[in-house]
Amino acid sequence: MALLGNSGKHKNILLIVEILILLFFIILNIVPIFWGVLTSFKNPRDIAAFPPKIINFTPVIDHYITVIKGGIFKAMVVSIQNSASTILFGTLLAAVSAFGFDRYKFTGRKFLFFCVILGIPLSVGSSALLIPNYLYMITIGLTNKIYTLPLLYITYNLPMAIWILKGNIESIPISIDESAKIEGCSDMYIFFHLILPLTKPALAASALFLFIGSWNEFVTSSVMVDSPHLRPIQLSIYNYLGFFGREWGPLTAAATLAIIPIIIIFAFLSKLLISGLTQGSVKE
Amino acid sequence: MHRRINLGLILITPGFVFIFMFLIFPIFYALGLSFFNTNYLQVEGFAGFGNYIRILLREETANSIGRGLLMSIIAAGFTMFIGFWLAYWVNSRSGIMAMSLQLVGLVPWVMSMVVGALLWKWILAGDLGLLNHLFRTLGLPLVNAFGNKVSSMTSLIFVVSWRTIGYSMVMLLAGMKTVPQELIEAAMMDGAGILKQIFHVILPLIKTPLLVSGITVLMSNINNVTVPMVLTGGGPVNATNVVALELYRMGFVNSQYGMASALAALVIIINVFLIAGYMRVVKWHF
Repeated sequence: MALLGNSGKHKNILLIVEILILLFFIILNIVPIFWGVLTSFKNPRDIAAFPPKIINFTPVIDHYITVIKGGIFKAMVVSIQNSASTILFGTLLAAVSAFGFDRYKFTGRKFLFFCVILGIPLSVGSSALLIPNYLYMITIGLTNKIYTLPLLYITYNLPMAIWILKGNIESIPISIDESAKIEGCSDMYIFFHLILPLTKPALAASALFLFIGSWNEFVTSSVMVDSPHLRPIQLSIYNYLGFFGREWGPLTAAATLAIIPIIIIFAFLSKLLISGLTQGSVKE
Repeated sequence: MHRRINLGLILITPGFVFIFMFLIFPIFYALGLSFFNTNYLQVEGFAGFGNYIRILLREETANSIGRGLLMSIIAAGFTMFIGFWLAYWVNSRSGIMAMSLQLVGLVPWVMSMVVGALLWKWILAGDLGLLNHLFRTLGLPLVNAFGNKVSSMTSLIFVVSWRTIGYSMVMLLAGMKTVPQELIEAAMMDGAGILKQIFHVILPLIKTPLLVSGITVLMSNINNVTVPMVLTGGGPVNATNVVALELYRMGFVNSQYGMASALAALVIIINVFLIAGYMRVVKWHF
């Protein structure tokens, strides 16, 4: 963009405009969180105040107490359970599948792998599949169980996890397996003791996708579980919307609690997230 | 590579069963069910194309599909355009701005849609929202972001694009990093202006991430139930009742599962085109 400027002065103005535009985008990305967190600590009078109060207010934790009394911790525990089981079984299934796809030849391998990759865009469109999935889950009696949501979250994020891990196992030289074979190691030993330790970053990237996918999911949970003790955090927040209406204090407090784990994990693992996202579209 | 033949098959079976049972099979289940009459959850006999005729006779079907496509295409176009320029800028710079843009870029994408839409609703809504505070400070007339058809749809498109801009930026940036700097310099030497460089050098070389992210964003928009549900609830009246939301309501609010399956089948057809495009462009071959 700076190339357009001929004179030095012209250049400077352009640079300032450029920086302002970019600053605007940076602000746009974080302003909802910033404003939400701020609102969650204000008393109702400060929330409604004009000009808006940025620092000149006394923080209160009333809204947090309200949502805690409303059972938000219970919902967080449900979400933690869902995420933990999704991550655990999801990465295990993904690693085993990726190993199978990469290191063995079998009839239909290509077709089956095609189906796995097909699962990536399919799960992006999973809400179109919500009606059939719901009727189907009802028919086989799997709705409203403690394992209902983990089962679906594992499935929705498994294709991506398999793909990330397959890409990584691919890059481990096959000679490692072969020499271990000659030494008399079993296939399972090779998998658990040689391959898995070498795929740690990819395992973490897959786990990250499984975590984000299960922690943030809402639409599926809104139809697949009904019992209050099975409601995860996003569903609870949605229900608060109906319950608290326009009381933004409790709503933003609940929202703040829900994004804390995501932001913490994102802060440490954003590089892994990017490497997973760009898999299959950029040659490394 | 060629070891025991069956072990590989055994290893991939558990994962595959999940994908088959809960992602692939339900599509066929929906297609099948769309040809049956249902009363709440009971299947009551063959309906032929009855459900399809019924949903096609409803005015809201075509309207909601139209709205869904309009919203999705505009939002995806917006996302890809802005994502491209942000990536282009970040790629040509280093320093604190480029760093922070990359860092915060993905924040909307990792945030749950319920929370994202809720927080924007609070910023955009009513007289007490941050947006109207800003307008008041600047002496501008106040806006009612969810008050009329156009403003409500604009707000929806804005929030839906906001969610995906960082994702497209990251994808396109990763692609641009693989474009050799010499190629761009050579084009500059030949007197190619900035637009020529982009259209003749950069875009052809980042075709894959461009198409993969474009299709992913479009699909995610078309199937997005959460953002319209939380942000506008489809209103005012039906102004932002996009097809994904209409589908959800038909099934889970009105319990018209036969008709909803037929509508789901129509939405799946739209998705099939996009999925086919995705499978063509993505590099998945061994």
